Amino acid sequence: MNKLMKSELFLLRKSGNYLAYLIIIAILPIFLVFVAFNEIFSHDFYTGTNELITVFIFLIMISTATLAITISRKYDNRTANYAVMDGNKPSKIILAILFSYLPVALVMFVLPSLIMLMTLFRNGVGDTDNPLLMIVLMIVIFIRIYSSTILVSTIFKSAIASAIITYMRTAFDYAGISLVLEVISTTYPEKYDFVSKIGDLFAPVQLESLLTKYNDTTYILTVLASFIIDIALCYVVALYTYKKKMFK
Amino acid sequence: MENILKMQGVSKNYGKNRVVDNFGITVKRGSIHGLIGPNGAGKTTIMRILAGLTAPDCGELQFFGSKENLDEYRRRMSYMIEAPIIDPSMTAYNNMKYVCLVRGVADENRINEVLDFVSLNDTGKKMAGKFSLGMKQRLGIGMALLTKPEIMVLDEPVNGLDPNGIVDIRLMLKKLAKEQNVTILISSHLLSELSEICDEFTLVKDGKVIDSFNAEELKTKCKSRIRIKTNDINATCAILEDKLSVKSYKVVHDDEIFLYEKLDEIELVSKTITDSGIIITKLLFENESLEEYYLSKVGVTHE
Repeated sequence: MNKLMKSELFLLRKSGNYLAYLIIIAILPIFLVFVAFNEIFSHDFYTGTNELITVFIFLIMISTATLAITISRKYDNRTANYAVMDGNKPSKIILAILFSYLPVALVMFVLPSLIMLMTLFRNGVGDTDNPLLMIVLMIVIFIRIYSSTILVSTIFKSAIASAIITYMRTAFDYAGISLVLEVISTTYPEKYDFVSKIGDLFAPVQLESLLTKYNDTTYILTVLASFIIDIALCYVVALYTYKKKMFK
Repeated sequence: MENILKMQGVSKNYGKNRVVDNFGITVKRGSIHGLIGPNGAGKTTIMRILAGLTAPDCGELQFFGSKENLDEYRRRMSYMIEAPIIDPSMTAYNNMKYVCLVRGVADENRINEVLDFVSLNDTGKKMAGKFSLGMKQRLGIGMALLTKPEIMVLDEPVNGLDPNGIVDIRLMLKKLAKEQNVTILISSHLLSELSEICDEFTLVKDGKVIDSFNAEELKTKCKSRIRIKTNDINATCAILEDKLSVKSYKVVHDDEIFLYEKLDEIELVSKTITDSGIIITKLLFENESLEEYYLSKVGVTHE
C-alpha cells in the first residue's frame, strides 16, 4: 500500500494545480476574517459566531468538491488503471487513496479550525468548558466528512460529476436538512423531535451543534456512531462500485 | 519455446452481447504475436481480460505456466490498452515517475534509459497533453517498458499514426523483441503492418479465433499469383481460357487479373497475350498479402 500512497501524493504534487487550490482553500479563512471582521467581532456574540460557522461550512463544501475533483480526475484520464494492472486488490487501492488524501484534508483545516476555535472562546460560545473534548469531536467530524468524500470520489468516472455531486451532497447535509426540519416542524410539529434526531446524524449539523451548544453524552455517542456507520457505508459502496467500474 | 501466456475457452458477455466466444491463444516466449481482427472483433476485451481490467465469464488464463496467483504474474507484464494512459498535465518524465511509484520501480535512472529508448529525452517541461499522437504512443510504450516487463500487451499501438510514426513504432518493437527478449502481444487492424513484425498470428472475428499460424505458414497460406493489367480485360480472360486452358483466375477492380496457375510460365503467359494483339500494362509475380488472406478467411472481398 505504501507505493500506492506515494504515487497518490506524487500525483497531487505534480499533476495540474490541485495542490495549489487546496492550499488556497486552507488559507482562505484568513482573508475572510479580515473582510468580515466587523460582522464576526462587532455584532453580538452569537450572530458573529453563526456567521463564522456559515463561512466554515461553505469552506467545507468548496474543499470537499476540490478534493473530489483531485481524486476523480484519475478516472477521467485512466491513470487509475495502472494500480489495477499491477495486480492490486480494489480494497487496497481504495484504502491507499483514503490514507493519502485524509491527512492532506485534515491539514487543510488546521488554520480554519484554529480561527473558529479562537472566535468561539473569545465570544464564549459553545462548550468552552471542555476545549479538549471539543477539539477531539471536531477532528472526528472532520475525519468523517473527508473520509466519506474521498471514498465516494472513487466511485465516479468523471471528475466534474464527482465535484458537483460532492458539493450538492455537502450542501444538502447542511442546508437541505435544515430546510426539511423547518418544513416538518411547521407542518407536523409532533414529529419534530424524531426528524430532529435524524438531522443530528448529519455531519454539518453535528459541527454546528458542536460549535454552539453544550455537548452531552447523547451528542457524543451520536457523533461516534454516525462516524462509524457513515465511513463503513461509504467504504462498502466505494468497493462495490469500484469493482463494477474497473472490472466490468 | 516455452508457452508464456495462454488463454483457453475464454468467453465474455456484455449484457446479451457475446464479445469474446470460447477464445484461446498461446503465446511463446520471445515472440511477437499478432492479434488481427476488424473493429468490434473483441481484441480490446481480450487484452483487458489479460490486464485484469475485465473479468471473463468463463475460461482459463495461464501466465508463465501458472493458473494461480495471476495478479502476482501481472506485475511481470505491461499493457497499453485502447490508448496510451497518460496524465496530460504532467511531463513525460513525471508520467514515467508516476508509473515507477505505482509499480514499485526503485531505479529512477530507468526513466532516462526509457526516455532515450523511445526518443523522448528532449521533451523537457513540455506537458504530455501537448505531445503529437506519435509522441503519446511512444510515451505509452515507454511507460509500459519501465518495469522491464517480460510480456507487453499492446492494443493498436500504431492507430492514427502517420507512416513515419508507424515505421518508428515497428522498429522499436522489433528492437525490443530482439535486444531485450520481450514477448509482445500486439493487436491491430492494420494487417499489412503486423505481417512485417510478427512471428505468430491469430485471426479473430466476433470474439472467436478463426485461424492461427506462424510467419512461415503465412507464406504458404498467402497464395502466389501473377497480376496482369491490360488494355482489354475481357479479351485477356478469353485468351487465358482458350489458349492457356486457365481456370483459376479472378478479375479485380474491373481492370486487373489475378492468375493462380502457370506461375512458372510467366513468359508464356506474357507472350500468348501480346501475340493476340493485347497490350500488357502491368505484369508481375506476387504473394497475396496477409490482409487479403484475412479478408478471404472472414468472407469479405473487395473486388
